[in-house]
Amino acid sequence: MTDLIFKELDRDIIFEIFDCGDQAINYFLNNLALLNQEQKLSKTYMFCLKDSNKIIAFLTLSASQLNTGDARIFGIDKVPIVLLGRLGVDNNYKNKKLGIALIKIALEKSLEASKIIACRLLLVETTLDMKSYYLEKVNMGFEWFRDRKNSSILFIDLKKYEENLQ
Amino acid sequence: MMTTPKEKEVKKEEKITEENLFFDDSEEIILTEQEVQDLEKKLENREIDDKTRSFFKSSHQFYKKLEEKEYKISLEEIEKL
Repeated sequence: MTDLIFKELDRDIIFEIFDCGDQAINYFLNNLALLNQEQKLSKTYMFCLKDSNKIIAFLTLSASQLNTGDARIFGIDKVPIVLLGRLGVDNNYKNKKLGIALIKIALEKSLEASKIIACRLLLVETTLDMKSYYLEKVNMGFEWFRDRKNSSILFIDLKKYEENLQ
Repeated sequence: MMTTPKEKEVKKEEKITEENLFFDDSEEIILTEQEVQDLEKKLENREIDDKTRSFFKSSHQFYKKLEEKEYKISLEEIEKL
């Protein structure tokens, strides 16, 4: 049995040997995550091994907004959102559903936040290769928003999420 | 949180694997008029399929269980999700 603890990032965590296979995500965790958290710019949550405090998976959330330009949506020109900015699973713990567990947690954390400061969407960015996985192969409620050059932005409607919990 | 130039530099060289997500938020997202119309339609649509409803419910239940267990869980329990 591998015992895990889910908690906020703190200075007791051992993350130097974390490797999710994505250098940019590794760089964020190793260099920016704690700093950003202490500055209240983003919040990082993680699963770590109970025995060693080694981080094996994490996600980072922050508040953001979508600018509607000259148009309006529901009468406003900025849509408040939660950004799932980073999510990484250590290479030694891939394919154990930690990624799905973190997305489930991101939904609940976003819903909690929406009850206090209001935010309508949970936004993520994935590679074009993984776009169909999120939109078609798994039924997580993701909807397509926009493609970028090598990636795709998807969202989950938090109001829809809240309405379908009972 | 903003994507830093260093992160973008690193990003160009790496290979993305499943179960990783990286949002490049270095530039503000400004919607086109068409995107605003499309988004409004999607947000007004309250329909949801059974599989998605099931995922939503399971997400809520999973988190409640995690809270009840004081955020302690085994990897084996997560694998059963």
